[in-house]
Order: sequence, then C-alpha cells, then structure tokens
Amino acid sequence: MSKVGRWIDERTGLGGPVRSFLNYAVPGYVHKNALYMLGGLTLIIFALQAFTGILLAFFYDPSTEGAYNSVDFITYTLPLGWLIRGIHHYGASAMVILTALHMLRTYFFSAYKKPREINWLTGVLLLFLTLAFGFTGYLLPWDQKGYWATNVGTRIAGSVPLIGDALMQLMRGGANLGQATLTRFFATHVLLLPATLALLIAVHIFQLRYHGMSPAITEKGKKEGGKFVPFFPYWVVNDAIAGLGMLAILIFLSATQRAPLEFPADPASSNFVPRPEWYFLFYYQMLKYFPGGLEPVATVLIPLFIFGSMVLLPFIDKGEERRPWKKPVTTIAAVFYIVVIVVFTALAL
Amino acid sequence: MSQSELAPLDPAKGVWDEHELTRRKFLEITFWSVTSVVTVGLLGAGSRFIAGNSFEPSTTSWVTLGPVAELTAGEVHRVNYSFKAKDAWRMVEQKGALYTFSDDAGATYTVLDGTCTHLGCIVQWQGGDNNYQCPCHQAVFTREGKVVSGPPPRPLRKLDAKIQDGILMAQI
Amino acid sequence: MKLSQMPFLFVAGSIMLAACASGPATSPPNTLTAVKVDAVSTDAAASIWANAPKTTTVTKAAKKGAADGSTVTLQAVYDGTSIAIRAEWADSTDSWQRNVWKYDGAAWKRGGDQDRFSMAFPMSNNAEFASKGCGAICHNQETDDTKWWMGTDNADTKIDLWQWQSAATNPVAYADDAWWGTKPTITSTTGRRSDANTGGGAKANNAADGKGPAFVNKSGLDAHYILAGEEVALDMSKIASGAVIPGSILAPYTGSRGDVAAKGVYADGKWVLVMVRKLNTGNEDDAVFTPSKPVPFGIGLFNNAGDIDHTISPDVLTLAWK
Repeated sequence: MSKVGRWIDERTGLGGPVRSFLNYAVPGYVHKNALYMLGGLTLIIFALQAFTGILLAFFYDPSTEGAYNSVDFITYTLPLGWLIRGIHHYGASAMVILTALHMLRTYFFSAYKKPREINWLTGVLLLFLTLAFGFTGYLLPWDQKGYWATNVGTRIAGSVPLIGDALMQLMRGGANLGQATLTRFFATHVLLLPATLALLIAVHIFQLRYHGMSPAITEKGKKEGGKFVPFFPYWVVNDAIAGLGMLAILIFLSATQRAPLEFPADPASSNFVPRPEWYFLFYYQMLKYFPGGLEPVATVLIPLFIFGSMVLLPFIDKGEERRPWKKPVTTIAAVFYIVVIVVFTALAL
Repeated sequence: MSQSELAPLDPAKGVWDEHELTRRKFLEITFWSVTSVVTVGLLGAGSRFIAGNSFEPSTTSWVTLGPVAELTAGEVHRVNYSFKAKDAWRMVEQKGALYTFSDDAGATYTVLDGTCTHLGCIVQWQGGDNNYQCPCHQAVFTREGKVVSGPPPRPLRKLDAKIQDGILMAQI
Repeated sequence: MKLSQMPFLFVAGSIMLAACASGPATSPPNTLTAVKVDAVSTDAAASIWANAPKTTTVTKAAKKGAADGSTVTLQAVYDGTSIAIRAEWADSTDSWQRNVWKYDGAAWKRGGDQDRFSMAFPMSNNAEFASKGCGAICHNQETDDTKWWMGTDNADTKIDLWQWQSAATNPVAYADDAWWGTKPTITSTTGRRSDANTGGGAKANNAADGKGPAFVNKSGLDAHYILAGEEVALDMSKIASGAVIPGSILAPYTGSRGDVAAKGVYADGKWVLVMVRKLNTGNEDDAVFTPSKPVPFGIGLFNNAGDIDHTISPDVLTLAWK
C-alpha cells in the first residue's frame, strides 16, 4: 500500500474491507462466462443513469408550464444536452434490457435456490423499480407522448376493483393529470426511486458476496470450479470493457437519433394516439383482449400472478436440480412468458 | 430493584420473581416501543402528506361550447372548451374537447365526453362509419356513445348540457 | 472472457440498438423532412431538390361550405445557415391583377386580387398550435365572415407568418414576413402584424387626385408590375379603354419584414415557389429553426383571393430534419 493509502487506512479503517472486496475469489466458470457480466453491466448502467440524471436535474423545470421548454432547451440548445439526455433516454431502455437479461441468466442457472432466496427477491424488486423508473420518467418532458401514456397508465391502476379510483387519484395527485401529477412523478423519479434502488442494490450485492457465486451447472463449469481469479482486476476489467462498449452504443444512438421530444402536451388534442414506451407495449397490447368486466383480469390478476410467481419461485422450486434442460416445468414456463412478451410486443408495434 | 438485593426466600417457596423485568430489558422494550411509535407516526403522517388533496372530488363547472347556430343539427361536432380552473396550487387554463349533436333540430343537444371508458384515450368521430373509434384498442362506440365492440366497460360519459342565450353549455 | 463469447455481446448489443432505434424510424404522414445540402437556393430546378422527400397535402376550405383547393407538394432543404422550402400547386391562372387600375374609357377603377401562399410557424413551443395547426389561432366562432379573425389569445404566443404574393412580392423576390399575436387593441379586427422594416416596400401608384394611376413601367403598358426606379409617368394619350395598369410600385422591404427571399414561377398551369430564410434571423419577430428539432406548421393557399377566402392543410404539418 502506498504512503497515502496507508495514511487514509489508518484514519478510516477502509483498507481491509476494500481489499477483501476487491480480492474476492471469482470461480473460473464465472470468469469465463460472459453471461455473468450482466449484473455488473446493470450496475454500470444504473451509475450512468444516476450521473446523467443528476446533470439533467440542473436544468429541468418540474412545472407544467416550464417542463417542456426546459427539456427542449436541454435537447436542442444546451451544449452537450443532446448527449446527456440521449444517454439518459437510451440508457433507460438499456437498463430494462440488462435487468431482464440478468434475471433470465439467474433464472436459467437456478441461482435463486437456497440459500439465495432473499437475493432473488431483492432482484425481483429491483426489476419492478426499474420499470417504475421508466414509467415515472416518461411523463417528465410533459410532451404529448408522456402526457397521454401517463393518462392511460394511471387509468390502468384505476381499473383495480374497489380501490382503483383511490389508487389512480393517489398516482395523479388529484382527479386529473396536472401539476400535482408532474411534481409527484418528479419526486418519485429523482428521489424516492433512486434512494430505494441504491439501498436494494447494496443489499443485493452484499447477499451476493455473502453467499458467493451459485454453483456451476455444467460439468465443464464444475471442473473450473477449483480455479479462481481475484475480482479485481480480472473480472472488473471484463465488465469495464463491456460497460465501455455499452456507453459507446448509447453515445452512438444519442448522436445519430436525438432523444425524441414530441410536441408539448395538449389535453384538448384528440388526434394523438397514446403509446407506452416499448417495454410496456406487450402489456398495453394484452389489455385489448380483456373487454368490459374482464378488464381487472388483465390489469390486476395477471400482473399479480406474475409478480407473485416470481416472488414465490425460490420457495416452490426447491429441488437440487439446477440444469434447465432437466427442469422442463420452469424452463417451459419461462420460454412461454418470453414468447408471449415477444409476440404481444410485435403485435403492438 | 434486582433480586440480589432481596433477602433470599425459603427454597421451598422458590425465588421472588423469575420473570422480573431487568433494567436492560426494560430499556430495550422502551426503545423499540418509542421507535416503533415514532416510525409509524412518521410513516402515517408522511402517507397523509403525500396523499395531499388527491381525493378531493373534482369540481364541476359549466363551460361554453359555442353558439348553437354554428352547431348544425344532425351532425356530430367536436367542440373545444377552456376555462380557468385550479390545478393543484396554481390557476391554469383547463382545456378539453367534447362531442355534441342534436337530434331535435337544435332544441336540445347531447354532449359526450370523448374519453374512452377503457383506458382514457380520446375517441375520434368517423363520419363515414357513423361511429366513434378509439385509436388505442380499436373500440367502437355508436353516435350516442354506446359500446359497439372492443374492450370498454361503459358507454361514453354523457354531460349535462343546456342552451343559454343561443350558446351551448355543458357541465364538466 | 473468451472470444467465442463475442457473439453473445453482439446479439445483446443488437437487441439494444434495435429496441432503442425502434422509435421514429419511418417518417410519419404530414411530415415535411428537410434534408441537408451544401447550399440552398431559390432555384426550383436546382439539383438540391433531387433527394428531398416530397410531402403532399390536399388543402381544405377554411370557410365553411367553400370549395376545397389544390394539392400542395412540399419539399425542404437546409444548409448551415438557411432553410429553403419548395411548394408546387396547380392553378389555372396567374393572378397578377391585384388592386390594379382598369380604364373603362371614361374613368379608372381599382380592383382585383392575386395568388398567395402562406406558411405559419410558432415562435415558441405551443401545445395548441402543435396539435391543431393554424386552426389554433383561427377565431371563427361566428357564422358571420366579418367577425372572423386570426390571432392568439395570449401575448406570449406568437406565430410567424410568411406570405408570398404573386403580384405584390413575387416580382421583387421576397415573401411578406409578418406574425400573429393578440389583437393590438380591443377593436382590432386581426392579431396580424407586419415584421419591422427599415425601408423599402411597395408604394401606391396613385395620381395626385387619387383617381387614377401616375406611372407605368418603362418596359411598356402591358407590364404586369412596376419596379421602383423603373416607373415612368403615365401618358394618357396612349391609354385605350380596357387598359390595365399595376396598382403599386414595388420594392422589397429591408429589415425583418423582408428576410424571406422567394421566387415563384408560373408555367404549365402550376406555381412552383421556393422560399428561403435564415434558420435564425436574430429578429424578435421571427421563428427560429434548430435543425433536428421538429416544428409544427400550417400552410394556406389563396387562389386569386385574400382574407378568409383560402384553403389550408387540414392536419397540422411537421417540419422534421434529416
């Protein structure tokens, strides 16, 4: 340790914990499998979102009169505004994709099994928090797209039997979409969700380190199990390279296709067709198939069932078997959901 | 007061009180009780604070839709309205659009809220098909607002309307 | 990480790209996409138009019950400093006789109109204009034409207006630059105002008594217009019954009112018009264009007419950039 490092360590006591964190022994089957990088990538994209989000907050005006103009200013006038908003905009999609892929990796590798149930649960919560980020962030530019998507989105909550109206009004901060809605979406998006998410990520990572990596599922992987590399720099480097690649993609997208900003929200317009962000499209499409009184099936029962089965998964699937090709039930269930989501999304496009 | 300060009892009578609350236990219980009460209180107050006046019923008001002379009977018209109203803590110009038509040569008008009862998209009047269609999930409503097909659970909302000095007004 | 795993990364990256780019890939209807060129010009036949996508809009009568108008084909290009918009529409006549003097053998009479083409752009973000187009500022709640007016209800809302006129502005190669705001006074009949000018502009071609023209163009009695500096005194001895003399002596405006250059050519039963303006004129009474920022706009077509008697794009149009 350098002289400066020692000086700091003597006064903070951080040297030990940091060293043990960085020197964590990563099993060979993990180090050699790119699928294990998804978690780290998700963390990197969250860091990017937090960074660009904080920057955007320096110029954003959370009022129905000023929001649109401030986002317009950021996007078209402010130096590098296109870049910061672009990364934040496309990063939101990337975060949803990476969270989902990371979850699928965990699922197919049966990494949710005992003793990692709590880690799976925090992961499920993190996925839903990520979606909540997307939903609340969509409204903030106060453009036609955000306004109408939120109008529809909150009304979906309104179709919950008995408490629906109360829920919708609570989300909107009143009977209609307006200043109160924008303010609470802003507060949720920039304060409540980031704080909660960061806390959960800390728990998630602590759990990961506490239990270690879940066992390998292939014979080849098990053979690699005896070999280890230190977390830093061997594994970190992989994630860093992938993270750089991702950043490059985000910058490329921001430069070639400026983050979209529709025309300002007009509550009196009747020709605007509301559409949610692409990762909610499958759900939006599904709502079509549950007419009239059946609506709550799509708006309440199905989401509750999906959330419930995700939460209960580690407590139902308790067997020793971890190989997906030997567990037809969980594998088929996951493939079924993936197919449904892909097909419904395609139908809605 | 602890057990040790008391004179020992006859062994046949046992000890003074084996469940006696120790100072430590008392402090623990007190700490958790107070903390729980304060936490619950803060969360309760916080929830009430966040709910704000979300549940206040939206106020109704009469808005002007335009002169009856403009709204030829028999046809479906899309009319805009705007009025000053309170939005949370500020006064703003609230705007919206409604559909209206008259089947009795302009004596009375039916005013419909074009908000689809499914998920709140705005339905569009299709003169050629003589119906309203919702662009979101392809719902169809009759000219009078009844559901023909698609997911909406209820007919379009009908508003109270009146004609005052030749001007059509509706209560939103 | 092994090389064999690169395909995975590639697939993940592609999914991300595909997902993110799935937004505004195709240009939606009613969108005029301006393409970047080296240098814009008012030449309608220039090669800059070859790659500019065409957008057509069937114009509908602004006045209830009036006849619909021509289909307008629009194109747009831009360079580092200016934007050029090309419009083409069928018109059976070149209406040049705006407010001309006509001699019936005994006295002069004034009359006549011209063809006009208008474009309207909001000067700031405006929700209503963006979703309704010019309809947002058209106040036609009355069946009575004379009560009809254009303008905004809010002093902060200003709409830039370019009006090209076949007789009054085309010969001197500009389009009249104006804007709509609130009515200047409570009794005003319009919210329309001209942009500021520092000189120039047309002068009425009136004799001292106001009962006839004073000048003709030096090129001859059959000239369709009189340019400032080319006017020569009218010689009544050469005038026969049925003579038509232009009603104004034309000169372009200098200053903000004249910053839209325009060139319209009438041939083969149609008008082909190109208007060029700086993306940002720096003037307070002009809309600013920022390439990549979509702008809503509307168009108006006047066939030998003025005022309410015009046809418009029924939907709001969007100027986009590529």
